[in-house]
Amino acid sequence: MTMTPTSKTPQIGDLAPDVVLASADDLSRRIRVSDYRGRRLLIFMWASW
Amino acid sequence: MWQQFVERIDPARFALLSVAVDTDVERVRPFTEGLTFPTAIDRAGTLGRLFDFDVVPNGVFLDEQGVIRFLHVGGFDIRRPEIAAQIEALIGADFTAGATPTYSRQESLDVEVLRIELVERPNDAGLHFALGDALLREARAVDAVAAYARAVELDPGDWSAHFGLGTALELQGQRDAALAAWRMALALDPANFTVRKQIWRAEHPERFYPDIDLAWQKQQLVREGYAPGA
Repeated sequence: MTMTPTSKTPQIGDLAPDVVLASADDLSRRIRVSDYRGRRLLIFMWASW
Repeated sequence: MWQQFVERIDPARFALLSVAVDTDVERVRPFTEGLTFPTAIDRAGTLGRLFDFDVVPNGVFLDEQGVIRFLHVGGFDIRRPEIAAQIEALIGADFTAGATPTYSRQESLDVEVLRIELVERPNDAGLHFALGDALLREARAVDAVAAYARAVELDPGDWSAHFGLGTALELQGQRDAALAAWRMALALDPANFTVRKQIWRAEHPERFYPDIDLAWQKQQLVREGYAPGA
């Protein structure tokens, strides 16, 4: 199942999709994965529950 | 934990982005105090949908070109020494020089661009879903509800469309309708703990704050009749 027309589930070796998220400290501010190009990035996903 | 890890690494080489998969930003903010790295909130489960994750915590490591070099689903905890060692190794690794993928946008993420694309493909459920995400980021709850509802209409078997709808309804203050949508998402994907815990948190907040009651969660799974692997 995919929800976007161009994507499959990204695998190791694929370019990561350019995800845009809101900053938790300021919901009007956007954080984009593409902002980090030029550096190595670890995305750590978690939840308060 | 992560703060201590990040302080040891040259920020010119490596960055950490913490992403909270929560529908309520007030639950997230207490965890961000004293951190020097940013925390984003992913209220509609966008990353989970893209990467097909149905649990947290997870780690995704990208190199400086944005290529995925590592994925770890569930149990991704920097306190585990083997995980800390893996991340340090990835930071220092020399990735094979090969053809660098040409960077291209795989998703159109802005409301206006999506509306233009929808003129050409009005029955594309994925576009309505992406529009819902974009509207949710702008806190336009009413419009986000409409977009997700259309995605659900077009692709009623997709759990993530129902989940996005629930999140937008919650933002609008329609708690009962949000729970109904999340329940539908869970019915479509019963192994999805992101959805299940969201429902639990909304219906039993006392079991999550101030402390997470794991014993209650185990009992609740039994009460809900969910037996993994059965």
